[in-house]
Amino acid sequence: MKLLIVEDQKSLSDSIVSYLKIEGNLCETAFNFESAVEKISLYKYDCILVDINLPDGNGFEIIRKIKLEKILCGIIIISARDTVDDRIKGLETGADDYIVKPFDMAELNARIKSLIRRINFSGENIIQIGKITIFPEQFQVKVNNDFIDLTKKEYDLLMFLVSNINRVVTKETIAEHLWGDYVDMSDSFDFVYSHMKNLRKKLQEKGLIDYIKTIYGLGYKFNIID
Amino acid sequence: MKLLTKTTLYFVTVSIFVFFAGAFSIYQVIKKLEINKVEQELNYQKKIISQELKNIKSDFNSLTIISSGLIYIEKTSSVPETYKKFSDTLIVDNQQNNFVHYRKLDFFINKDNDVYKVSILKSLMESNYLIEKVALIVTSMVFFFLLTVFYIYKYFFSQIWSDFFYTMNEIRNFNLSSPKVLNFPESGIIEFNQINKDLEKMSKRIINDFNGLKEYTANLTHEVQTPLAVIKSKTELILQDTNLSEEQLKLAGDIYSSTIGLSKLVKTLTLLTKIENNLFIDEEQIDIEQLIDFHLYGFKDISLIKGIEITKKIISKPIVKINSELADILIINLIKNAIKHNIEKGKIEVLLSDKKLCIINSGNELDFNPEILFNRFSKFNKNEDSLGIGLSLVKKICEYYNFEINYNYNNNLHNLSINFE
Repeated sequence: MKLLIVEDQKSLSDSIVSYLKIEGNLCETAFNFESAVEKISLYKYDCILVDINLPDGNGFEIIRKIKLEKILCGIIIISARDTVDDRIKGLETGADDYIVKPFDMAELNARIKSLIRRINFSGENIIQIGKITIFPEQFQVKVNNDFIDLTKKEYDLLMFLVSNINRVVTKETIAEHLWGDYVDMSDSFDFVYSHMKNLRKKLQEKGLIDYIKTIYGLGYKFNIID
Repeated sequence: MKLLTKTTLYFVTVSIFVFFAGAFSIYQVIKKLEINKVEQELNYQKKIISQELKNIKSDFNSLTIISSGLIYIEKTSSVPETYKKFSDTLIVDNQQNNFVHYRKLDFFINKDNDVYKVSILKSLMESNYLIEKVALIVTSMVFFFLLTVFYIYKYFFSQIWSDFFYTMNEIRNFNLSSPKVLNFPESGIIEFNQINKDLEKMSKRIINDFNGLKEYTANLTHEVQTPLAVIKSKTELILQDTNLSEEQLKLAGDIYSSTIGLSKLVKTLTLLTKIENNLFIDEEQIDIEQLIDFHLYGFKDISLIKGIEITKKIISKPIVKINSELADILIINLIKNAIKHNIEKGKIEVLLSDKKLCIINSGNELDFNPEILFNRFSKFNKNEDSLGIGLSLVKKICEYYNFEINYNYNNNLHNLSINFE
């Protein structure tokens, strides 16, 4: 995947690049409006991350340009502004998603993947990870060619872990991803643990042991053991 | 009372008083003048009569009536020390069979060692008639005048004050959700122009302040959240390092969760500042029951894990005029609070009646004074990391909309109620 990160805060931009390139994504950066516009007109990207507040321009203008020139790519706004007005404006301008700073890298990663899946509509989207096969359009999961029965939240949890394969994902990030505003951060561990236990059990019944590793006190890591 | 009604009332009251006092004075003056005229005539007659009486040689009884008035002569013993020269008297008119008002002049004459008392009378009928007519004319003129002045006044009132009413209307329509600097047309009245100019300046200032404050809170959030985003992302990268020891991972994990906590705190404080500064101005009619249903769905999973049973009892469905964002925050925080401070396998009851929302939940009694329950940062349980800021948000929102909020604890149940009136 080829990504463009338009973010004037260089250290944040660096973090995003470091996190996303682990999976072999090709990441390019633009630190201001001008270079962002230039790169968009010269190269083709699968997904563009745009910050709204740029030193020499406004992120909305970049999105308008992309839409005007009918460039096909996913657009995710990354902004510290989190009022409803800002979100509505962002989505109305043509962004596909809006993520508020400070965001979790795992969350950003999952959103990018989900967006790319939505855009690449042609052909069937099947995610094959080890012995697990996920059919995102049907919200179904097969393990060793057998369908397993997951609840909506367990499915979301598995998708989230799979999107961040081989990474440590903190319990707070998982809680935020699954329940958003509805969860109190101090309680998050109990809630995540409860779902994680059920998901693990269902995977274990199909012979998948130790796919989800617990990092004590921190979170979880999903990896393939074949 | 309306401006027109009030000024008209004053105007009419004062006018009626002044005009009737004037009319009464005119009546009195005319009456006085008429009597003076009659008295002068009587005095003139007295002169002629006394002259004639002195010249008469013969008997007094043959005296003839000299004028249209009546004359009475009678013999008296002496002239009294004091006597009234002029007096009023009523005499029965035989022709018309009613009393007629007369003015009488008494005087005494000495003749042939005798004293005679002479009384001359003159009818006031003519004068009274005149006075009556004058009074009638004056009164009807007063009425006519009042009526004319009233309508002229009303006309000029609307002419003069029209600019004022225009200004008033503009102020009433002034709304910060679609801020527009007030702009008034030039008025012909200096005072109104002055007010309009001041109002234009004021509205400009209000809009600037409002936008400045909005910008400030947005910038503050931006300036704080951006470095937090950097810290968070860097920590997340550290967490991915497979060479770290468990101890180091734990340190990074602590930084990570503290950053999340700090970021949430800033978000909430910004929210509180925004509510305190009235930055949530857009309001809409919100169906509270629908909103509760929506959010209860969001909490379904979490309450299930904690084994909390949530029941809903709807007596009626209040529609409340409120900002939708604040309504969400209000309901989410109330339910979140009821879940958080509950017991294992506890219960929550949501009671919705006409204008009141009650959230009743099982839970242990507070170990502090319930009065500080809504204070910023007061905690239910001091062992927990979470800041008890949710309820202070709830309280701020209630204060903002003048909703009454109450808390009580009974039979191991916490009861939080909000009155939307």
